[in-house]
Amino acid sequence: MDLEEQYEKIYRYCYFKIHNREIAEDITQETFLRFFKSNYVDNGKAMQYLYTIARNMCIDEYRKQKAETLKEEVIYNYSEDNIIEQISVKKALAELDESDRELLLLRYVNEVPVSVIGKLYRISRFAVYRKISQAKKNLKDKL
Amino acid sequence: MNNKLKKALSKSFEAPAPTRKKAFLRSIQKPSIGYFDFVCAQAAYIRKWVWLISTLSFIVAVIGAKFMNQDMLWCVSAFMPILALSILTESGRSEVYGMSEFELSTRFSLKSVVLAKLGILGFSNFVLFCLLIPFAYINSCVSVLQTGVYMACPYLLTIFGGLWIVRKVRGKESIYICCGIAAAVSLGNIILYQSSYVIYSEQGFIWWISALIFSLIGTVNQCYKMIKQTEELAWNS
Repeated sequence: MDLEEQYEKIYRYCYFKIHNREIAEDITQETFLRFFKSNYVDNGKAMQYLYTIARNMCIDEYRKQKAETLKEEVIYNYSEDNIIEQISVKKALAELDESDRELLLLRYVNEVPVSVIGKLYRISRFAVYRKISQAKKNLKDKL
Repeated sequence: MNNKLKKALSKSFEAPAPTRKKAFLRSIQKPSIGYFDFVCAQAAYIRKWVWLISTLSFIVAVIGAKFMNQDMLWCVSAFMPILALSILTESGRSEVYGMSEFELSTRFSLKSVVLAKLGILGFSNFVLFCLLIPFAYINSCVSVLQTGVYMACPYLLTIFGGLWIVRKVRGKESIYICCGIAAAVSLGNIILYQSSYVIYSEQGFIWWISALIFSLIGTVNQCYKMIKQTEELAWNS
């Protein structure tokens, strides 16, 4: 497992869930610390456990901070050549359900295997494929 | 999904750069795995049927000796090559599935994995031997030493032949040949018992001892060569 790469991906996932840079990074680091303290290291399911820990911690954080606003100004760094497409994708994503967005992030941005996503949500691989294709369709419809 | 859209998605989900990543990764120490934990982890990868064969041979000996009052020595002795086959299939698994070169470059080298598996199975078979000897001895008319030799000889003979094959023949064919060797030793044992009782008598014992010493030396030699062979590309260790 490439620790640096996984750190980036878990952090991106936490940031997507929490929308706060500091808290997302805290959760990312806590996720890794918990992971290394656990017995899950070296049993071949690293990604599954990392995402499960991160997801649970984000849910806890979300519940804790529900009353407060966690929204943070996001600075987008668009390159000039495809600025229009990126803005339209961003807009289309904003119109999607949270669950669709999360699936697209996990599968296409963080490149999490379908089997791991299935275990994370406790659904079958078939259901994951179905949900991903539905999310893709929804995204294309909005574009 | 096309690459352009994937790229756009990645950009859309881009988070602000983490500020404490480097310091955290520097401070974090990935826990190292102890030797005992490593061996335990390898035990989990040994296939279930290997343990099943060991259990089955024990059950056969117990049932025969305790409940049927039969001389089970020849039967237990004939079962030993099958037990040996379970070790052979595990030791040559990386070769059979074409993973040996890949495993040479993993965190735990092929040599450690093979050694751990051979150690686990060797120890478990030794324990099984110790448990089987009294049951095989109960109704037989030979000494405890003879019982032990009659059981160890076909076992070591199969291991010797099998390890030689696993080293020389690549792919699944090696396992088929090992099965053939195990079957030949097992059947040969039964045929010898049925056709000539001399083999299992005091007079024939010297042949058993000779065969045991030959197999033992051969097995040790093959184990040594096998370990050497797994070190061939140990440049990464």
